[in-house]
Amino acid sequence: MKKTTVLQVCVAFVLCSLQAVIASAVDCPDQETGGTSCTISLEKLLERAAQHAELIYRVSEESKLLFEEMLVSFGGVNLHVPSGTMCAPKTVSMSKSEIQQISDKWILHSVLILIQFWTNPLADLHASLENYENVSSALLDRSRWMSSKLTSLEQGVVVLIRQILGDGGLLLEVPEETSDHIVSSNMLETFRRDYSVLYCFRKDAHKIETFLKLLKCRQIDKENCSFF
Amino acid sequence: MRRDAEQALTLMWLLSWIPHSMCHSPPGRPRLTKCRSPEKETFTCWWEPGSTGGLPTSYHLYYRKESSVEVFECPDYHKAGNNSCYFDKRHTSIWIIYNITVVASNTLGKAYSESVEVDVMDIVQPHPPENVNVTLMQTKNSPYFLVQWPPPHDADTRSGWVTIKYEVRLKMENRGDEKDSSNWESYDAGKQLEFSIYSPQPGAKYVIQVRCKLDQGLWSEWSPSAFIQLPDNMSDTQNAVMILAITLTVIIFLLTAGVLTVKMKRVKHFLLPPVPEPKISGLDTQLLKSGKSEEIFSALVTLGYPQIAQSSDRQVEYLVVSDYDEEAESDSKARLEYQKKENCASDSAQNSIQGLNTTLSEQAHPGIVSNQLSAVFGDLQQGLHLDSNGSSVKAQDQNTQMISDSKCEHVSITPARFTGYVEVDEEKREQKPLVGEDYSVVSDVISDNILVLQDSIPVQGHKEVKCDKTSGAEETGGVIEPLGYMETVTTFSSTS
Repeated sequence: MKKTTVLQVCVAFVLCSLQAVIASAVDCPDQETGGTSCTISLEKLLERAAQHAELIYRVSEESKLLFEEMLVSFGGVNLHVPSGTMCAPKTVSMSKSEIQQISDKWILHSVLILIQFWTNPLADLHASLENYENVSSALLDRSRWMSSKLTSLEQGVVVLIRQILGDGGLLLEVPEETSDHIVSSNMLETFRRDYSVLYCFRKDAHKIETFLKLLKCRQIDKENCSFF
Repeated sequence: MRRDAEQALTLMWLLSWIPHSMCHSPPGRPRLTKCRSPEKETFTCWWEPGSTGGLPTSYHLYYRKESSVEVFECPDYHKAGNNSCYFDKRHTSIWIIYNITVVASNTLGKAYSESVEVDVMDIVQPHPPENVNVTLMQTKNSPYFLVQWPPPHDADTRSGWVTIKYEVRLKMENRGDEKDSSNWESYDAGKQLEFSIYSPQPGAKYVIQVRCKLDQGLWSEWSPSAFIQLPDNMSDTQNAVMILAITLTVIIFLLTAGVLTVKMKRVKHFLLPPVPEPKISGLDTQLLKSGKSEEIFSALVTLGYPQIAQSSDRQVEYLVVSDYDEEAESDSKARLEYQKKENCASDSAQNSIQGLNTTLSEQAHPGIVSNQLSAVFGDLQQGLHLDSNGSSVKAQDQNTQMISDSKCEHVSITPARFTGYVEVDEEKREQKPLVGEDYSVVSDVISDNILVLQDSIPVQGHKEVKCDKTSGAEETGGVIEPLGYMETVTTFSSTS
């Protein structure tokens, strides 16, 4: 009996791996691949990227609120976010009309830069949150989730760049190292730093979401997208 | 003296009036009350003026963007009303923090309000949807409400700039209309512009409102109420029919259950007819279970069933030799029919037949001569070791039945082609089987007690007639050796 079960597991494993390989071909029938690797359609990619970004923004919002609640229990620490500490240096501050005039290329690049900027600080934030005494598991889960989803969003944006801008569209810029990870023994400083991470990340997540939604609208539904 | 006091008092009283009308002071501090953006593209800030200080004061709003030190002034003071500042699209940047200050100034001085930091992303609150429309849809005895509304007029949801979410709430209006929020039922309508509410109560009046939210911002105010009144007679008949059907079903079910419990067996036989068990006549399962083998076997032995020899003490053996002339068989062999019979008393079994003490008795059967006995006799003598004492062999006509007379002592032997009946008296013979140990002479076994022996050598048939009944033996050919009672008949030997 054992032998047969092992055999069944092996067969199932083989089939599953085959299925994983084949599943990537699901989207292919309507495209002419001509022997090259199969890709997902642009609409689906943009849809997924926009959904990812929206979800990340929502979770970051919740994380910030949870963090504030947690600090209230510490005695109402005054959290005044010093401007410009953790927020991305390349802050994009534009009005809607300005944003709608920027090109797709610019959108994609700035999104990618933002994502790459936030990958490390989020990981550091998660590590720092684990050291807190009365941190809620919801907050920990969310910060871990955000890190992983951001990575997958980065992969999606890379694919989008390759599809929309062609193979040469990817600039290999080394993201500049921002502030070093300062381990501070002062609890207040730790609070401030973590809160600023959450605060700024929330804002940047909203940026990413807006950019991707706009890009999606432009690529898919050119008529309905209003250009002022 | 008194006049001076009066004058002083009047003067003081008069003087007290003056500062109220003529005293000026710098203005009090204004206060920014709220800032709102209805569509994340523009925003407006309102403030509350402080004390005016008796002089005409003017208010200015200055703001600074997050990363720069340059100070700007409010672009539009009038569009949004008094004490407000409207930032249009060109001046609204999202994702940066505005540092806003209101300055109240008059001729005597200025007053600065507290600075407020505003991020447009955080102050988004849309206008409520207007013109909420409720209709009652009657579909096949299940009516429902259909609530429809237009989107807020300035939100850009098509391009994806904002993601809008709606919420619908309704309340049944009672007589004593208490403004209790717990009576409201809220439903999340997502992004759609219509919503269906099912199972309304007939005869009631409902109040319905809608509100919306952009991204993760603030909920808008509730829209103006929409009312709807339901008619009274709605699907009562359907309920009655349903109740009747259910009652009938329950009654039928109970009846069926009752009938089943009463007539369980018959129903069971009707539905599942019993399979007949296999029965072997004479075989009793109860007997089998009891395990007594003797009884089982005795029960098995019935009429027609082959008998098992019980005691061999009472056996009479017959030798039946058949004549092949009647039949068209070429092979002639001495056939010995060896038959056993019951109830033949055996007195003494000491005699031994030297040859064959047989008495040949022949039935009165015309034309059938049992002559060729020699082979038979020879066999009997040599191979068969017939040792019985005066056992009588009775040869019987083949066509006649075997004489079941046990007391007869006829011994007759008919070799092949004879039909004779040879009866061997058991008394004389005592249990020795005719065949003895040499079974090589047996060429065929016909039944349980009939053996056909093969004669391979010419032997002389012997005939012995003991019985008086016989009229004598006929012998054909051969050398007849008178042996007293023995008559030998030579027969041909034939091997089959």
